[in-house]
Amino acid sequence: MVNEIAIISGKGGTGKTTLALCIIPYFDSLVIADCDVDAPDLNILLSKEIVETTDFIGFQRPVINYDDCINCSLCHQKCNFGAITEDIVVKKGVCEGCNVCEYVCPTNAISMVDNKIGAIYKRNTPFGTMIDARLIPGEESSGKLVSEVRKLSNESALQESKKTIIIDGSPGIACNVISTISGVSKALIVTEPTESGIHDLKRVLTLSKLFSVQAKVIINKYDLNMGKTNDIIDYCELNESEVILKMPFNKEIVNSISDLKIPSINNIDFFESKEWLDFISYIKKSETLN
Amino acid sequence: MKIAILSGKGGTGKTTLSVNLFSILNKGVLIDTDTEEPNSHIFLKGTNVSTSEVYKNHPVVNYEKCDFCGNCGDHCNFNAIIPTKTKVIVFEDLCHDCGFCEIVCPTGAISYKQKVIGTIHTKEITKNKKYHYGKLSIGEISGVRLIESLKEMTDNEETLIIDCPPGVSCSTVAAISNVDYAIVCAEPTPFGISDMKMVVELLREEDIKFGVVVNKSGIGNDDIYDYLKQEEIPLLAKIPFTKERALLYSNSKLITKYDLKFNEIMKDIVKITSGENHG
Amino acid sequence: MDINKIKIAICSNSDNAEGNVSNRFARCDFYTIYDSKTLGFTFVENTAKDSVSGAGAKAAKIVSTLGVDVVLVPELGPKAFEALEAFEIKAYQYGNKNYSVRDALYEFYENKLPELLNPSGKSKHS
Repeated sequence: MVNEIAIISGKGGTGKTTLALCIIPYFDSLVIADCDVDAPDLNILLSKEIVETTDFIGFQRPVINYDDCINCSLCHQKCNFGAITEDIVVKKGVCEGCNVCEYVCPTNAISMVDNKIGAIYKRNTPFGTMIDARLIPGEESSGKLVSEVRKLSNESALQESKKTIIIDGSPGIACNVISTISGVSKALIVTEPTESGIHDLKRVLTLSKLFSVQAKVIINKYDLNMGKTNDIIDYCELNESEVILKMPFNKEIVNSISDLKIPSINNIDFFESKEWLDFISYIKKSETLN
Repeated sequence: MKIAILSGKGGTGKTTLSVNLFSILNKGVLIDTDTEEPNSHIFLKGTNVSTSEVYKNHPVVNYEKCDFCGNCGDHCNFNAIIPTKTKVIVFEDLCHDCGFCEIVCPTGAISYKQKVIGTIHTKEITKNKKYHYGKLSIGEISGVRLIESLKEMTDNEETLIIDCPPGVSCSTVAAISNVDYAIVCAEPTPFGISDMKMVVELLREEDIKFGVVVNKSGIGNDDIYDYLKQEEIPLLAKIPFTKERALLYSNSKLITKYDLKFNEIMKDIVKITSGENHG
Repeated sequence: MDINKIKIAICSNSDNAEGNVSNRFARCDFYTIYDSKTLGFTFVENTAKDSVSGAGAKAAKIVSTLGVDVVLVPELGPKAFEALEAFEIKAYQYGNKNYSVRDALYEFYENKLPELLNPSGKSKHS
């Protein structure tokens, strides 16, 4: 079995992608999956080299042939999503592709056509194959796109006999995140010592539990507010989870990213620390376990 | 004037900007449409006015009427209803509530059952200022219905600030419908620029006027300013990163109350954006 | 169940009984149908494969319309499991083995494949 580690966070901008980048160099047998399809960023530091591009087709969308349309307005009335306006114009971003309009149209003026909602890329990186995807802004069903990235990264891991997949997730708790964590071996939740961070952490921890995913917590920029950091530690203890790493606020890490260099292999003291190395051996443990 | 505050990347300061802008207004309404992780209420506090539930429908089959013709299953595009010879299985979580199964059922055996998918909370700060936020139930896949409810409730408001969800997918599209202006909150890092570009693409596609606030300026590099200049996108303000502001945020304080400079920046943004409305 | 009078579907990568079994139930390329009465193979393309949503449930529906009594699968998600159960189709598991469709069939007849009594993991919601 491939060992899948998902990095998530309820709140955005807590440092998921940065953490993913920092741990990647420590794995020898790796496939990387960027499941943040709304904002895919791993490629910025890892690779511009695309080996393969696949279009991702979502649900079909209606196209109206106005020559045949008699303005009966049935499609508008029967659409539960408000995706067809009163003057019979299709609103792209809200259509969910159910085909009801096509069915109710008395003059067959509506046809359903394939609709590209994003693209999936396979790339070579110095650390192994990477699969990432980009949702076309404004499109629906990004959860499905996430599932597809998961599927392709699993296939790559199987083909190349790789042991671990590191998944960079998206913020939130809805379809994208559910698709990101369902069935993974382990989830790492990145949070920050703020009231919002704690609020969001609670929701995403509950979600992990609901999907029976073992989740450990990482507090990024922990030293910005020690009080809140301690609150997080206490909360995790009470809720069958655990804080396994505290990362300090460190301008060197931000600067390293700005220079497009992976922080953990860019001579930054923190990554020599015992705490960091213990954390790495903890997440690698499961690599040998399977 | 309806202003949406959004960003592709999470954690760039959407909520900070929304609640602090709101804090300097004398009247108006704010809605927090990040229903997956709503945070505005943590800063705005206020007193509870009302709480309501938002529902989604899914089909239930009346076996006294069902003749197992299979039509419902043949037409469902989401494979959410699977009829066999003796029963009909419904997968609630796959159902999009499109109503197709009911339309094609020849015996009228299908009706709908409501399920709560989240709540909407309304709080009052002063007589002239209130806010609403939606909270998606954990395990539900989409907050779009909640966002639509929030938008409907506030359709006639004169001054509305919309704190949007991160990303560029369907929830964001729902949040920015019918706005007059959008403020993109971005941070000056390679990730921040890349994610902002996706939002810019979305706003241009939707034909919404917008400007950018660079938050946490001083970290990262200057690439973002070159990009804005090149794309002729107005830079509304730069908000420098300071540890004091980060600390105020972490303790869920409104920064405008403690930080005069920050307060001035908020006032400038309000001035520029309300000018946009008339020009 | 008389195992010499049944139809068996095997998740396959190709339309060839010597080709490999698939590691997916809902999104495999073909179902190989073995009819134990005629001892013949037929190959059916899996149209559930490209479903954006609910592929597992749709795949179960497809094999049921093929008149199948038993499916040989790598694993089953909860929705596919529930749907197969409702169609009264039994599932036997070859897991992550990488062998031919014919090998899987032999193992089934040698009683080496366990019947799947529970779905294999948590649902991917699509």
